[in-house]
Amino acid sequence: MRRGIISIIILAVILFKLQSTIESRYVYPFPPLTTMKYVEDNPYLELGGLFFGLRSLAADIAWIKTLQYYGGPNEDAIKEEHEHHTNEEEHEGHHHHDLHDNDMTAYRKLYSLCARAVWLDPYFMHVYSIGSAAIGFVQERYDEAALLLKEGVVWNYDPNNVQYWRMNYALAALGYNKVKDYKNTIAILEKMIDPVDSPLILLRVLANTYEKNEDYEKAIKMWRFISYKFPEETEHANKKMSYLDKRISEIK
Amino acid sequence: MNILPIAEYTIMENIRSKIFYILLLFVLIMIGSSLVFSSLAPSTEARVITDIGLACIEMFTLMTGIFAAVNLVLQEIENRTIYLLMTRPLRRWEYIVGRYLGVLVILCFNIVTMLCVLMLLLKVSTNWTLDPMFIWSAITIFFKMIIIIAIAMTASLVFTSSVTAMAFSFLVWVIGHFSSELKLMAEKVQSLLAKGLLYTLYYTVPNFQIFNLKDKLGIPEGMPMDVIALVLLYGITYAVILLVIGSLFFARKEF
Repeated sequence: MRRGIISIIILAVILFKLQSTIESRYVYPFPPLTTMKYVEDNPYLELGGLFFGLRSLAADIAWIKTLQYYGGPNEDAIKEEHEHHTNEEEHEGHHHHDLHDNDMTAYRKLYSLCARAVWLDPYFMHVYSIGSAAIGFVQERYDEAALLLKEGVVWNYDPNNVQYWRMNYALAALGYNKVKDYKNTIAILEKMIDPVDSPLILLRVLANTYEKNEDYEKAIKMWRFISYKFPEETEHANKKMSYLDKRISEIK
Repeated sequence: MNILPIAEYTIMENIRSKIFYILLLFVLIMIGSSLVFSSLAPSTEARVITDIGLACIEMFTLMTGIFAAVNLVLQEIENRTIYLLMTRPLRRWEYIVGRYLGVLVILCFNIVTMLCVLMLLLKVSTNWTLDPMFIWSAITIFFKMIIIIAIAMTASLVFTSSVTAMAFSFLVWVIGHFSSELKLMAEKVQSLLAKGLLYTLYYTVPNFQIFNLKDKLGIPEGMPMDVIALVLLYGITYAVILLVIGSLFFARKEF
């Protein structure tokens, strides 16, 4: 009994020493609970991630939810359109206006959903690249996109990592795109995007920026590449290519 | 030394209790999730399958481990088969350590099998390449089990109730993962009482977060090898302390 208690005390001292050494060398690699900003009604992902040590998996689920939201109907814009429509009917009679992909009201929750995923796992690169492209280049909410990217740059500072530089390039491209300097936007996007491993949304952004810069031949080339790499995009790419062909013939 | 025969006996007992059916469940979940997630998140497929796989490995091992560790000794006391064992020239601590090692061997086999299935699935369904941190994350899952099994076994000897022991082990598991947050909270809280309570929890409950390499797979710098070595040593020391406490409690029991 006595020997047992003495060995417990000795081992506890060793354990305490070990814990202190680990503590001095170990940096908690995640944002703490107090920095949580975007909480849904049911924060089961945050709680599951924290209490069961499954933050990475929780971030995956949060990201899938984001993709489902962005891939689904644009509820925010539809709701706004409905409210607008009702008000106009009440006051002035019937009136219509089209909803566009880059409507400022579109997918309003996109930033907070991305921010939630990167709060759970700030090293989740796909969220920064795809999320910022969707928020910034497609929805034209540049400040939100820049905020997301800046978060990524802070958490993933590593000059030897190509992903780190891609985030910095994306920030610069967003800045040029905001002031409609498409020539410089293209120059940076071309540096940033590796067609082989880039996600679809970035390739589409590049193709659309070529079009905005009236560089139709390059745009057609990019859409052709997109339709080759992502066969599910063929229909959309074909439409874009025939439209761009028309533009070229108009100019000639 | 009677530890090895006891460990062997524990392994055979676990095999007979069909504990390996959990592996079949794992394979089914993994195949199902890889099919689902390849369509839901096409560009992050490998990451999602890895995360689900490692989480399943951890959770299944945790459940089987706690259940086996808690019931091993208690069932033997309940069935009175322990009386037979105690009549033999067997030290009580040897019995505890033998039982503990037996459960660990079973869990190790489970982890290795599930890991192989996961790697095979990743190789077949994605363009995945093996990262050394992936293997280290599986090793640290095993080291988490080294601690939690010791906790479950000791709790079963202290509380002599399987439900209480399981609930206690599960609670420690949860607090252990929240450990780093506990420290941050303790640093910020004003009340001395709360500060003391949070620090006590932080220093007494094992810090499972430091073993959580599976959540650090995406981090470029990973975790230095010397820190990993210290973490593993921490796990072993913690488990040894618990086994000594468990053995002391067991030594005081009268059969």
